[in-house]
Amino acid sequence: MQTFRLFMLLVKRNLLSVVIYLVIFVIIAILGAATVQDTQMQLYQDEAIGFTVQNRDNSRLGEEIKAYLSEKNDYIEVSDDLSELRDAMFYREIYYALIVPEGYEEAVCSGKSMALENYKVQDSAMGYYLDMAVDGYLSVLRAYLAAGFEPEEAMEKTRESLKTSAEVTVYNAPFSEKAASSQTNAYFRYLSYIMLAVIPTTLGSILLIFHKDKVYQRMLCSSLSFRARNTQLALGTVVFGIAIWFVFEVIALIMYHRAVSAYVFLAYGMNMFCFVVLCVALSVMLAFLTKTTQIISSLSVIISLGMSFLGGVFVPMEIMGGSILKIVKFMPTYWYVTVNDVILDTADSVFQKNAVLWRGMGVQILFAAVFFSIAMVASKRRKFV
Amino acid sequence: MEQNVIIKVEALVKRYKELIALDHFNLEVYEGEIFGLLGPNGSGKSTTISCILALLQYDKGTIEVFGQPIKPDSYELKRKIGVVLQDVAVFDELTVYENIDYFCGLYVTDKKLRRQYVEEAIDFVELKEFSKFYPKKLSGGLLRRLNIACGIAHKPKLIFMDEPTVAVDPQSRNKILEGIKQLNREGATIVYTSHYMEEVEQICTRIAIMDGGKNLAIGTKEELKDMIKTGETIQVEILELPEGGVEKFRALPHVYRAEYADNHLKVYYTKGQRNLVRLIDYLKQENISFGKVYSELPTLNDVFLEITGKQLRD
Repeated sequence: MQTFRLFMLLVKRNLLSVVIYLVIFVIIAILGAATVQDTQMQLYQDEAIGFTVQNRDNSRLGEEIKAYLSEKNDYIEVSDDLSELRDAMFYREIYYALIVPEGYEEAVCSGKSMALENYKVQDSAMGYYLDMAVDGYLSVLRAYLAAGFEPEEAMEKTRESLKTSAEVTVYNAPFSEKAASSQTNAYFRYLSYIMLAVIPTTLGSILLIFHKDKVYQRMLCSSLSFRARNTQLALGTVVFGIAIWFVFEVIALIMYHRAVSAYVFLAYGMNMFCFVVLCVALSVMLAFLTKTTQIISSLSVIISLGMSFLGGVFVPMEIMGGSILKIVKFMPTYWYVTVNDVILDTADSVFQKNAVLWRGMGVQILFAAVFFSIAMVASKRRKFV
Repeated sequence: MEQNVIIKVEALVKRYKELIALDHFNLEVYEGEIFGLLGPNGSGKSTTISCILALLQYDKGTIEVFGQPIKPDSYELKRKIGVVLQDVAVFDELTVYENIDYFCGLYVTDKKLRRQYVEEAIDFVELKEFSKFYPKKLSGGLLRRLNIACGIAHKPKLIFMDEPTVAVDPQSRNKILEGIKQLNREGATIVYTSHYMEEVEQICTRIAIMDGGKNLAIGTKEELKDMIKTGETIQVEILELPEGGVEKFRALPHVYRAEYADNHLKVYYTKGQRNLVRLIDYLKQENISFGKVYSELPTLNDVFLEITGKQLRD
C-alpha cells in the first residue's frame, strides 16, 4: 500500500489549499442558496398602496368601497381639494384618489349609469391595480342587485364574497420556483459547481504528480504491478471523493436538517454521491490527458462554469429554448439538477416509482464510466513509452 | 571457468517509424561486472536499456535477464533490478528521506528492513544531512545522488545506470563513480551508459561501443585498444621542419602516419616498443631542434574514431 500511503500523504500536504477552496465555495453555496430564498420571498410579498376616497355622496356605498380597499392598502386622509390631492400624489403619499360623486349610490342601486372619478399617479401600475379592485367590487355588487337583493343586503353579500380566497397552484412558474423555494435544494444545486471546481483542481493535481513522465517510468521499472499501482491510486481517489462528499453532507445536515425529511436528505445525498463519482472520474481523466496543474486548473474553470451555466445550475432550465435543452442533456449537471428538482417536487414520496430519479443518477454514473474508460485507455497507451 | 550471463540480448531491432534505433543488436553481460555502453548521443544506449527494462516494445529479437525473458509484468525479475534513469526521477513534493523510502517500498514491504535499507542508501550517497530537504533545495550533484539512492536502496543484484553523471560537477562525479565501484564490490552487476569515455574507461570492466543502433565492438578497454591500428601517438614541438621531413618520419619503423601542422609534428605508431626513445634519437641524429614532447596511448575515443570514422562527441 506504498502508493496509497503516498497518495494520502500528498492529500495531507495539499489539505490547506483543499480546505481554503472548500471554505470559499461553501460560503458561495450558502450565500447563493440564501439569495435565491430572498428573491423568492420578494416576488410574493404583499404591497400596500396609499390611497384616499372622497365620499361626496356621503353614502354607505362610498364607505363600503373605502373599507374594501383599506383591507389590503393604506387609506390616507386628504382634504377634498384638488391641489391637495395633487400634492399628496406628487410626494407619493397616495397613488390613487377615488371621488364618489353625489347621488352615486342611488344611481347604482337604481341600475343607472354613473361614472366614478379617480386620479392616479402617472405611469404607475399601482393606481390601475386599485382601479381594477374598485371595478371588481362594483361588478359583484351589481350582480347581487340584479339578483334582487336589497342594497344593504347586496353590500353585505359583496363584502363577504370578496373575502373568499382561492387556492392557487402555479405550474411552470418562471425562474424555477420549484428549485428556488427551498434553500436545501439551492445548496445542493450549487454544490455541483463546487464539486466540478474543487475536485478536478485538487485531485487532478495530486494524480498528476504520479503521472510525471520520469517518476512514472521509474514506477514501471519497479516490482509493483501496474494493476496494484492503479488500484492503490483508485482507492486513494475513492477515499478522497467520499471525504469530500461526507464534508458537504455534514454541512448540509447541520444547516438544513430541519428543512427536509430524512428520505429527502437521503435522496439528495445519493444524487450528490453520483455527482462526486462523476467528478472523481473527470479528475482521473484530466490527470491522464494533461501534463501540468495549470492546464488542469484552467480546464477545471472552463468545465465547471460551462457545465453550470448550461446545465441549469446558474441559469434555470425553464428559460432555455427547446433546442438548447436538447444539447444540455449531454451535460452531467443537467441530470444532477433534474434529479434535485425531482426530489424537491416529490418530497417524501421521492423513492416511490420515481423513474426520473433513478434515470438521472444512472446517467451521471454512465458519464463517470465514460470518463474512467477514457482515462484507462490513456493509461494503457502510456504504459509503453 | 564459464561466466554467468545476467543479460542476454539477441538480434534486437527497435524502430521509431522510419528511424532504426537498434539494428540487430547483440549483447551479453556477465555477473559481477561493470559493463559500459559507450556511444554518442542518439547511438541507441538509452533505447537498449529501455528495451531490457521492458519500458519499450521492440520489433524483433529476444531479451533475457537472469535467464528469463523479461516482459512488462515480470515483477519478480524486476525485484532484482535497480534503475538510475538519465533524468532525475523523484517527487518534488517529498523530502530526500521520503523519496528513497517510497521507491524502496515498491520493492521491500517489510518496514523495519526498509528503514535499514533507506538509511544505508542515504549514508551511501552521503545525503544524511540533507535527508529532510526537498529536491528543489538540492544542488545538481546532490540531486543526482538522490536519484541514485532511489534506484539502489533496495539492494538490487543488477543495476542500470543511464548517464548518471550528466551535468554534474567534477567533485560529485568522482563520488558517484566511487559509489558505483563500491556497489560492484558489494556484488551488484552494473550496466553503465555514458558518452564520457573517461568515465567508462575508469570504472568499466567490459565495454561495448555503440553507434547507429549497432554494437560495433565489445571487450575490455585493453582488448578494444588492441583492435585498432594506433598503438601510440607522439607529439613533438618543432619550430622548423626541414623540407621532406614528414616523409622521413613516415618511413620510420612502426610509424603508419605522420603530420606536421602549427609547429607540431604528430607521429602515429602501430605497435612497437621504445617508440619515444627511438624518435628522440632520430631527431638528434637529424639535428632537428625540438621543444616539448608528449606521448599518448590510444583512448576509447581513438577506438571510436577508427571504428566509425567520427569523433565520439561529434
